[in-house]
Amino acid sequence: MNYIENSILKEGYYEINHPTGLKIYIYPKKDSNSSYAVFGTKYGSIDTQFRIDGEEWVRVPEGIAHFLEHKLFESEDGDAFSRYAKTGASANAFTSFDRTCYLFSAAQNFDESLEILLDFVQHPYFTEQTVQKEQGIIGQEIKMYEDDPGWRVYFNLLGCLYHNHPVRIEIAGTIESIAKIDAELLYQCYKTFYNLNNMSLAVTGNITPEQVLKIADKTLKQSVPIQIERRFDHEPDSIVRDRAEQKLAVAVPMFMLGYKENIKQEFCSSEQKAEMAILLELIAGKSSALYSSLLEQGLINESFSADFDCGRGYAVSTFTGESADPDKTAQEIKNEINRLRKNGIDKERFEAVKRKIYGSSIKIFDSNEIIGNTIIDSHFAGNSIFDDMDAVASCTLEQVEKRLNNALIDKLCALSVILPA
Amino acid sequence: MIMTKIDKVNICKGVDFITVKDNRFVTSSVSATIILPLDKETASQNALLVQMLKHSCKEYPDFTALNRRLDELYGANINSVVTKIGDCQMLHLGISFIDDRFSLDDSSISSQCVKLLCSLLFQPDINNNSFDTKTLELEKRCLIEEIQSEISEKRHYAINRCTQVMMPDEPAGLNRLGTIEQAQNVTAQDLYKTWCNIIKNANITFMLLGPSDSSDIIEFLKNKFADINDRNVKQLPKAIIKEASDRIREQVDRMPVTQSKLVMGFRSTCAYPSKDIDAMKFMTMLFGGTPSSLLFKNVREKLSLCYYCAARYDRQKGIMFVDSGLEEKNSQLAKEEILRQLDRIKNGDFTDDDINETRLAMLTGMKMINDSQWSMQSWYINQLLDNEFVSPEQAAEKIESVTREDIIKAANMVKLDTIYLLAGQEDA
Repeated sequence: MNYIENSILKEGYYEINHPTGLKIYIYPKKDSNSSYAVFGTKYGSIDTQFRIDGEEWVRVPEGIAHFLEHKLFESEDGDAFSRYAKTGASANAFTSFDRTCYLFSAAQNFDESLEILLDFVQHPYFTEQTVQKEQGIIGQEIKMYEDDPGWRVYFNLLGCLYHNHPVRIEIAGTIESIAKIDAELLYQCYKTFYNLNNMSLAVTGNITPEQVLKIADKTLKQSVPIQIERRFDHEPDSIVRDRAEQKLAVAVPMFMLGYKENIKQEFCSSEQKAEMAILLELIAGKSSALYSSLLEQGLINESFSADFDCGRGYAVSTFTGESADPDKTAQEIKNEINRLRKNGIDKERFEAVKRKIYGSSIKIFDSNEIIGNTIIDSHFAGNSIFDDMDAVASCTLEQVEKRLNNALIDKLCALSVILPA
Repeated sequence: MIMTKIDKVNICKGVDFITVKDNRFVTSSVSATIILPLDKETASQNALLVQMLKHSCKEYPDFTALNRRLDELYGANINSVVTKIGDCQMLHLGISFIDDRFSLDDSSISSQCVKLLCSLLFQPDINNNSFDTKTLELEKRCLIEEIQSEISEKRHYAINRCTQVMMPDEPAGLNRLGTIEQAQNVTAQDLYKTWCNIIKNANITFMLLGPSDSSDIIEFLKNKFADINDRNVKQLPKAIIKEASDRIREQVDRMPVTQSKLVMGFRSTCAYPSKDIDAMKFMTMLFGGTPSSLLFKNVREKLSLCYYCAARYDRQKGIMFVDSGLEEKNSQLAKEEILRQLDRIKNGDFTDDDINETRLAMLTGMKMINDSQWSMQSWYINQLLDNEFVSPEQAAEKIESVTREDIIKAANMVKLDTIYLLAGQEDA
């Protein structure tokens, strides 16, 4: 059991390699009223092609990771929600591009709640009938997203930027793809990705390592290490098209301008994330010349923001908001990026923006939930929760300028627009 | 268990300062919350004023200068919210920032942030009894776009529309931001008058949460308001409580959407300060507030009709909303099932397990409030119209004592008033 402390926060966490194969992180906050646990697998919507131990490659329907998330809550003797109802824990789960997480918050009966979490995730139970029932519920979840312009504008953009990488497909899949899911396929995915060697548990709040390990020892079942290989169809460096348009029931057009970045390693490093966070803030943060200029020209409102998203095999920087003239807005953003590339970044501005990002990286430590989720993210990305903060603190102007020269390239950029129907 | 220690200091007539000192956090927040009657003549004006105050002040007269200052303050964040509470409009302006112990140069982040918030509120960019007209035009456009964009969030939009249909003659039926037409007509002089009136006469509650110290800002505010000696604070209007109309109101709106949104509005005369509001809260949770509630278990899990079907209760107005996203063709079935589940509670057809589970879920929710500044802030702000503050611990005690009979009684107090459906176009 290792203890890793951060000197700025004067807080830290325990890291445990459990004999069953599971990596456990415990971040105590003894003054919390509540505790939070998140049990995650490195398995998300993009993992549609895989094989174990060098066997045959398998291709599964889109949306199956999310479907599996829904179904794991069920067991032969009732669902996990009704078990949690006995302990009072507030439980949920989510599936993203590259991970699936099961979580709960508890203010009492933590031990019992953790036992439920570890137990139900380790006990799959699906029948053709329960699979069918879920198709109705998830079908409505998919339809809810179809009407959500903020969601649509993002996936339409990813469809422009990626030829084959599965980030271009919605996390929940489509009505057609989920119709192909059956109990047997669910078991196959389960057996591959819910091996404890591919998973991690993070617990934060008013708990002790001894308390967590006692439950873990009792509940976790030995997992034989397996070798999981994932593959994606070949993704060209180029983009598919530079524009997408969709009409929806909105009043003000919505836009998302996005840049594809071809990062060669499996995951972005903390340094790469810090550089891009600072760079996007310099370009389009509220203190930037661009932001006030777009605002004054009537091209954006306060919904405007920039973001960087990266995971296995994809990395995208986005500028999004509402605009009466998305094309002109996009052009102004592109011009500003190119101007900055040509003229260089002002040293003073760099320092101020870096300070802001440093502050933001501290703010996350106020929330048990964010700490827990970040620990899991960091674990799957091969680093630690404190790395992002340290990477911001040590980031240099030269690093950011170098990044600007290699990223946010015009020819790897597309504009997605939602217009009023 | 960490107990909330809340200190209330009166600054002057109508102005209070609340401190919730809590050293566990890495951030602090300071805010001013102003409550005004919600009125169709002034709603947009008030909303615009908050926007103007948020974006500049004498010291930092433009958006960029102000935001560069915030960057220097380690990404301090100015936030503003305009909401409804009862039949009133609530304007909220605040700043949140990381604790002084993270300062890289020993300067106090908190005192500078408090100073900045005070500048925004008390030294706005005013010349000749008028705000800047160019900035006002920009803010008007942004506010109008915000009102227009409400349609983008279909779930919220449907609840807002149901509220409108249900309460045509009550302030709570108005949009929290007013209307596009009103926003267009506001002048820079109007805003100046609104600002003067708020500082002079409105109910203002300042609140500090987190590890920062509040003595300096309390001193500052006492001096500031000492200059204003003739504060004339009007009593805020009491929320209008109505019984359900005899005929159920029904409204269907059509627009190009894939999924329909059903909202059912129920009325009761059980509103603050009724002794029954805790039972009503409890009943609403048991009905549709958790993943083990009757609506979740039946409308979603059993009938597989939707992804969400939930109930919420507004204790100021005595109103309960149930909402769900579904296929239009299933809306009748869902309506019947929702009413059937409510009837079950009315008839006492639920188990002791249902009661115990709901109680546990509510207690968990209340104990968790103290672990998040945002939750704590909302918790107290939502009580600003009440006679006294109840801490989450005190609220938990009240929940402990709710009985089966109380729940049945509460359920029998609610009556369906309005059914709203946002649906796709018929020819689609």
